[in-house]
Amino acid sequence: MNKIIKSGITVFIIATIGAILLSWVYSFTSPKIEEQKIQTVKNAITEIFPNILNFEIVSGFSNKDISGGIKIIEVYKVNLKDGKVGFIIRAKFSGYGGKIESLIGYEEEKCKGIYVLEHSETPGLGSKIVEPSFRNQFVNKNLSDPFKVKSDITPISGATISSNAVSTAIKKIGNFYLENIKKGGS
Amino acid sequence: MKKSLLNEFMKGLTRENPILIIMLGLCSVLAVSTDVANGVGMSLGFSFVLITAELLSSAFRKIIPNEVRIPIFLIFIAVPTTIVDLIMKAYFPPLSKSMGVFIPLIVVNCIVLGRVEAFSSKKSLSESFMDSLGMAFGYSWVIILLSVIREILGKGTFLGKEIFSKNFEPMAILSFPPGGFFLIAIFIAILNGILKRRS
Repeated sequence: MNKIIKSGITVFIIATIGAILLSWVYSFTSPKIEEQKIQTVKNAITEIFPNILNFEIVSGFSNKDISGGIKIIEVYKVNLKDGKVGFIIRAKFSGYGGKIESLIGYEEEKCKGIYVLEHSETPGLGSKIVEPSFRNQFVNKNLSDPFKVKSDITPISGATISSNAVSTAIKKIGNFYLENIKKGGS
Repeated sequence: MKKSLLNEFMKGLTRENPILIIMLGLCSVLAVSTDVANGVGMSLGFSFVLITAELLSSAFRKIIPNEVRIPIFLIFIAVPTTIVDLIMKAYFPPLSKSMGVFIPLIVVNCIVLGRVEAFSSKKSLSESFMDSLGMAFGYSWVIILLSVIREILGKGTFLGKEIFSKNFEPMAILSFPPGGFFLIAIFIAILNGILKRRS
């Protein structure tokens, strides 16, 4: 019996010291981690809208499921230096290897670009969706276009499914934007 | 330095190399050695955890009750791993992003628990320190060499920069786990050949 108590107390003391140490490390790293996350989003928005003035979160669209397994996480309204307004839609959709999380910019009737935040596509093939050579196809593309791989979109060779997932999602989210956000927002 | 201490350090580099001879923890080795930045990041994280865990388990070896030694060892491993994870997330976000889940997975890396259980929980502080240093270096040189070869030939880049002309077609297989396996096998064959010749 004594042995059990001694063992238990030893584990308890060591675990407590470990927990205290970790909470101390967490206390000075957690604000930094949050900052990094916000910075990533800011950089991505600036890449899509280089002439950004400021941006704000549009309420009423967080964690909304729309058709085709697409989930809208957040919508940002971006005020531009020329007085116009753009929108960034942060959404998750299915790729080939799992969920792809990205920021997609829209202005007027056009897609302004896409920035991939997270993905788990095949390295060396589908992972090329993050490369500008693929993403630049969507910059300033009219939302009335078909967004179909092999017609108006050049797919990444060996990764048709990943390419298709991205283009279809931009089109579908674009339609959602035209119907629900653009009308109310501007 | 005593000869025996030097021996504890040297054995990890080749004779008892954790990856090529003991062959533990290969999963994360294959997963993260696709590019150099990841290889270096993993080496640093792994070395920190291994050295800390071996020193702690050696320092407290006389007061740890035998029945609960494994949970205590896991605390010794999990705490430094979580510290590495938090610091990487806070100060090296791109690296932490590309390594993904493999940093937290150092907790269950067999090499660490294996060394703690088999070596440092029975040996003196100085021996454990030399052992962990040797093992850490042994792990690091293999994973960094692997990642250099895999990134240059598998992606045609070095530290993310293109180094070949546009005509170079990278061997994509080297970016995938099977390519990593082939390379590790070649490393093992070469090392065994050298060790056999020596003895």
